[in-house]
Amino acid sequence: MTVPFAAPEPFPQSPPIPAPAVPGNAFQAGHRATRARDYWLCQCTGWAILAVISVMSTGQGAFGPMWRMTVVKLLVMCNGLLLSHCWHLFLRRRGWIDRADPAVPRVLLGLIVLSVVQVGFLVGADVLIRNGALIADSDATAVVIALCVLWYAVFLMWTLMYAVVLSRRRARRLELEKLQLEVSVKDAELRALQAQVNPHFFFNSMNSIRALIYQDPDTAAQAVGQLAGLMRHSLRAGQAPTVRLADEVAAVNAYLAIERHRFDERLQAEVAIAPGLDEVPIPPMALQTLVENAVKHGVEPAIGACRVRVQAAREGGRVLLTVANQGRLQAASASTRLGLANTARRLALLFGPGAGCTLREEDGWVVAQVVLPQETKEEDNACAR
Amino acid sequence: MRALIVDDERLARNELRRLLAAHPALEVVGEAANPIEARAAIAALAPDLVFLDVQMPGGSGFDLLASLDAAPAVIFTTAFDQYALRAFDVSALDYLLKPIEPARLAHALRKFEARLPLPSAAPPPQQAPAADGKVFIKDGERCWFVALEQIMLFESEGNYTRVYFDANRPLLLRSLNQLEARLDPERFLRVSRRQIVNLDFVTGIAPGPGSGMVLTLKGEIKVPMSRRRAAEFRQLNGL
Repeated sequence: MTVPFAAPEPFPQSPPIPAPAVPGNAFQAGHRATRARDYWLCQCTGWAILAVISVMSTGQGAFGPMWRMTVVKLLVMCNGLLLSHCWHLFLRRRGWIDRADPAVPRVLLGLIVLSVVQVGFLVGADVLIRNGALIADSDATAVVIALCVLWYAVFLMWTLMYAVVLSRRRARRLELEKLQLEVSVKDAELRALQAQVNPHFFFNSMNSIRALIYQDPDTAAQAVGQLAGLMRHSLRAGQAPTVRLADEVAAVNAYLAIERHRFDERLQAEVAIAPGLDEVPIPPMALQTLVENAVKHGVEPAIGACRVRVQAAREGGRVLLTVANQGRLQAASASTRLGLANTARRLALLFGPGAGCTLREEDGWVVAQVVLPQETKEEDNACAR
Repeated sequence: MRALIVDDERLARNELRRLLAAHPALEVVGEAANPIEARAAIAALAPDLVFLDVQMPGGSGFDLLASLDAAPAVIFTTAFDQYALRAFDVSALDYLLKPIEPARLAHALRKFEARLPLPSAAPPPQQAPAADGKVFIKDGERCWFVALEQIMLFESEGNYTRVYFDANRPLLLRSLNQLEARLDPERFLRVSRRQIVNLDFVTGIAPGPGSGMVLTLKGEIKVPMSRRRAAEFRQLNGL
């Protein structure tokens, strides 16, 4: 059972923690273009439908020839489109609708202005094209008022539709924000896990070192350096998504050196790293976690000697990290697999589905293996980012 | 006082030896690196005090204690297992966290000495169990250090024996016959094939079915006594 021992405090000299992956700027720009296209599509379609309905509904009335009437109506529709676009820009700048409590009274007042302007335009167009046939009528006032009410209703509909679209978009945005928050919380959890130092190991090491101070001061000094190196590596693990394999191997060697003081000849470790793998990016503490598990489940319960083999090799397009210890694979309880589960989680997050982590027993050895896909240089960069 | 150090790490044993050098009244008579060695050392050396590591290869310090017929006085040493020690009645034992603080060690030793009976000139012959013998019981996750005289009733359950003390009823991995051999016959009475009663806890005796008897223990526990045992008991007490 391990308890987070060192909280991953950002250290002054360490690089800032990179923000969790969020949709980038390019994505947002593309999103905005799609939104503008959708807006114009809706606007044009809506007004075109309204124009068609309006023209079709023109009866064989007494208001002069059909074509003049049609021209007036089309002009009015174009003006409606223009006005609604201005209204849209205005609403967006004032933010009357796109907020938790829309400014309903102001919007309703604005709609009166809008409908009056629209009817004014209509009357003007009528005067110009049809010689004022509309206002020549005896009930001109009633007609104008009716038109105002009609256009008020049209713009009200427009505004309601706009509000619905906005509130949907708002809901989506909130959901996305919540998702991003969740991702960043998970990220922080993961970093805390990575910076875990097994307290049992830490205090036992302190005890060994204190014994060494009296018996063998040089070895004690060396062990302090090794412990410091290991602690620094595990703290750094809380801050970077990947580390160089060479750095991880250095930490593993430091760890094994300390454990050799504790276990004497009971721990027989061999580390074999194939050449040319120094720069391979791996999840921090991935190898170290496996080695710690091998010591915990192989060496600690063994009364006699126990061998531990640490290997890294390239095979095809993959890098294999293998840690084996002599012993039996126990029917795993939840806690014994904690380290392995952490590793698997990190692997999937960083390297995608090609990565994997297995634990098996063969010929008296318990073998833990991490597979890291290493396809192209670009892929590596993507992982590092 | 004679002490045994049980720890699987050589450096940890050395370190404790070094710390104990400041306490000349305590003599380190041996070391053990695992429970098997420890069991042999406890049997051979009969130490007054055992410094016992919790985590060892081949079984925990608890398992070792639970397998002993008579538990020695123990101070646990551990790097990071105090959560495991919380399962205990803490007053019954002490534990030290590694690396051990000299002041904390001195305190633990003072506490241990205060609990010791006055040293007699001649050490009592090694007979099991001592009158103030304690038994270490581990039942699942819970552990107890119990003085035998605190136990009011032993009840056989197959290869196990259920032990009644205070409000606890843990199972002990010993047969009733094994236990009977260790118990003080002045205090403990085999009342039937299945039960041994601590006479200190008997509050009442009543005639039972047939010519048997029924004993009442503290906490209103009724224990029937077989006819044969009852006859022996009557004879013994001149009833």
